[in-house]
Amino acid sequence: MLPTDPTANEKNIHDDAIFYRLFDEAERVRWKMTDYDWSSIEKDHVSPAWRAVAREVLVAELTTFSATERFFADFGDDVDFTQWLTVWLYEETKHPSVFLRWLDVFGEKFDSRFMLQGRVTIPFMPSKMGTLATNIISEMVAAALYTTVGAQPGIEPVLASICNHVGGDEARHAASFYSYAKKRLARSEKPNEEKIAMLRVLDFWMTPELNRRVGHPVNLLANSCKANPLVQEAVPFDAIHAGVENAYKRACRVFETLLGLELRSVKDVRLQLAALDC
Amino acid sequence: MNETSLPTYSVVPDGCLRCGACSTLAPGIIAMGEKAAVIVRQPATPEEVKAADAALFNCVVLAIRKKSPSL
Repeated sequence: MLPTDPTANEKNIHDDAIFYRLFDEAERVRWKMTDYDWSSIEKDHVSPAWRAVAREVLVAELTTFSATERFFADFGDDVDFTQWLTVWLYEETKHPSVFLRWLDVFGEKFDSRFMLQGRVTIPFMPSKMGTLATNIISEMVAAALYTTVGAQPGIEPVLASICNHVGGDEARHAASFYSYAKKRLARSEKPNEEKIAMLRVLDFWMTPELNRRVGHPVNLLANSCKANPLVQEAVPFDAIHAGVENAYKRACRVFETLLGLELRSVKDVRLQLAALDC
Repeated sequence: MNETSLPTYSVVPDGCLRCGACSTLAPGIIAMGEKAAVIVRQPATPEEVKAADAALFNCVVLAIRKKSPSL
């Protein structure tokens, strides 16, 4: 039997858990694989650059299995959160599948060994709040990347629709991780320590010298897209860069509402960290 | 706090992805309509303003607008 995490304890799971509400929100907007008309894809009109984009995204989306293993290991005593994680797992598992399906139209095949590449388990950070913060920012950046790709002129229409659906999923997942971070912070006996853990994550992602050490698949995707000349034939470097930078700015403001601290830039993040660390 | 001293919010339906992120963050304030998110009612407390702000800043297509109260 797992010990119960006091910050995750519910008196009445039905009344106190936020899983039910998040589940309803996701159900209302869920897209289906059958929504797409695969036969409408005019494959002769799709340049190799767009297929390179889909392949980059596919690789980044293979890590859901291992991330879920880590989530269940680290948050196994949080009934509410792990109930919602089943929804997250289901929706995230559709992401590589839908890009595989699109690439299959062009005869691109991927075997099990390829899929297993993403199943390398990397431990999360010791702070649960740090893990939630990482997922808020990574989902926000992922949403920005997908909608940036989806908005490019010349994108194949089915791929554009996929990118907007997947981008929307990522934005909703960021919102859901936020909801659990808010709940955990409200019940924490050491809120300042939780705030420090969250601010450190924000600092790591937003500071260029530190960002190079962020091994999260979304960060690797952003950086690999910016370094891949074939991808940039479809999605220019400036568009990717602007999308990511805008996501960071918005993430600061999202964290501002969560932590009750003024956070307009990475400079503010550093100032608030210094103040809390005293 | 007087409600008139609080900001008001609106949604630009054309840009909305209808992803459910905003209604997740600001339940009771924003809901999913048939084609786009809709404002159900304006925030009435500072806590609800925080929730609406979280929805605004998390919106990946910047479809939520905020109007500050006139002084």
